[in-house]
Amino acid sequence: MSEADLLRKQQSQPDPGGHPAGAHLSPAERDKARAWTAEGLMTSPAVTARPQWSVVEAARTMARHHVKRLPVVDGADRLVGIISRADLLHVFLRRDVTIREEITVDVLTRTLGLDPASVTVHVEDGRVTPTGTVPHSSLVPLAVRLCESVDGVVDVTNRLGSRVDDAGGVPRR
Amino acid sequence: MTRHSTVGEVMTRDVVTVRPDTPFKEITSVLSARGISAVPVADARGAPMGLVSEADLLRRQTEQPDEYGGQPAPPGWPHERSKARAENAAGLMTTPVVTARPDWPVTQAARTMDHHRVRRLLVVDETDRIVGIVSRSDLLRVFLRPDEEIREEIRDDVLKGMLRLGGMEVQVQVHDGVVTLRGEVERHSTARIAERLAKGVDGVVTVRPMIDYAVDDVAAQDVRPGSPR
Repeated sequence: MSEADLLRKQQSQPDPGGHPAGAHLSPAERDKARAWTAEGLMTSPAVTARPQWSVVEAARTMARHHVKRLPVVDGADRLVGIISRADLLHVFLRRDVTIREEITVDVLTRTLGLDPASVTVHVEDGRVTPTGTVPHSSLVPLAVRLCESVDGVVDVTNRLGSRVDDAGGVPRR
Repeated sequence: MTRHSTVGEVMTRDVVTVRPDTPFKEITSVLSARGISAVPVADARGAPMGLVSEADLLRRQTEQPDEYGGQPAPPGWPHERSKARAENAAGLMTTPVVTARPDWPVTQAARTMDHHRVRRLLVVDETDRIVGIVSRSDLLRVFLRPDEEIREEIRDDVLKGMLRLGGMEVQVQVHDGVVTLRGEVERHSTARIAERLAKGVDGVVTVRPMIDYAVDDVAAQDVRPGSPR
């Protein structure tokens, strides 16, 4: 049941000038416009999501079915929640401390094999500033690009330097 | 510098606007005919003045007597009541309007929407003229990029541009946002960086890494107690 379902109802009321209303609606929409109960107005069947789905998967499903929200059901088809587009957008609104943790642990340590003590990561309102020294200059653009691609990052101000200039060579660590 | 898609890439450019004196009925027709849920109100030179949404119109509708002649209870806020009585865009619109710029990353637009508790932003150029409108669903479009676009960015921008790896070394397949990287590189660390860079590309659901390597230069790091994953 959505605002659009209600508006369809609204548009089908005759206007004060006595013009016929609802002429632009499809037959299915006209049925909805005539309905006065939730059962008549609702959109069915409901497309559902599963709790373990990724944000991207939920977004793709909403787009495919042209819906703004999905009921989330468990394995027994029981309703466990509702996910809306606003919820999906939370991936862009990650807290600074969460972004910082992903950059420090996942990007710098695990992916680039850097000593976490050698780079300080400052995050404020999604704006990231990595400061420190990495072994090779070829690692700097990789580190910047990896930081930029982390969910929720608005931009990256690079303050990284390197001990050895290997620019033009193959990235190494 | 930004990596994520920009507002200009996902916004709706073909924006219909109404004038402050556009009447209620004409606004509902515009929303219905265009299949949109809100319309900007612009002044004579195209600068934004406000936004009229379905919610603004519904508020007006709930003020109407129902078909049995019953009078609905007026909403609590005087401001809401005056909106409910308004007959044109100037009286119905929500102000002030929250704006964005085309070069903003989508992350910044999402944060601005959240901060101001709005569902859409008007996109304006340097002269404050409306050049687009960006809604939540537009922002979600970054998750819906076509497979070929994702594949090109990974192949050209990530593998070739960042890692200098050509198609002989690593091949990229993308199906419904699922990326498969296949091939062989010299070092394990390079394979790992390639995987992580691909994962960070907008629209990627997941990455299936199938890259072989000759030298394992990260094994020591993985057995370290407490290291992630």
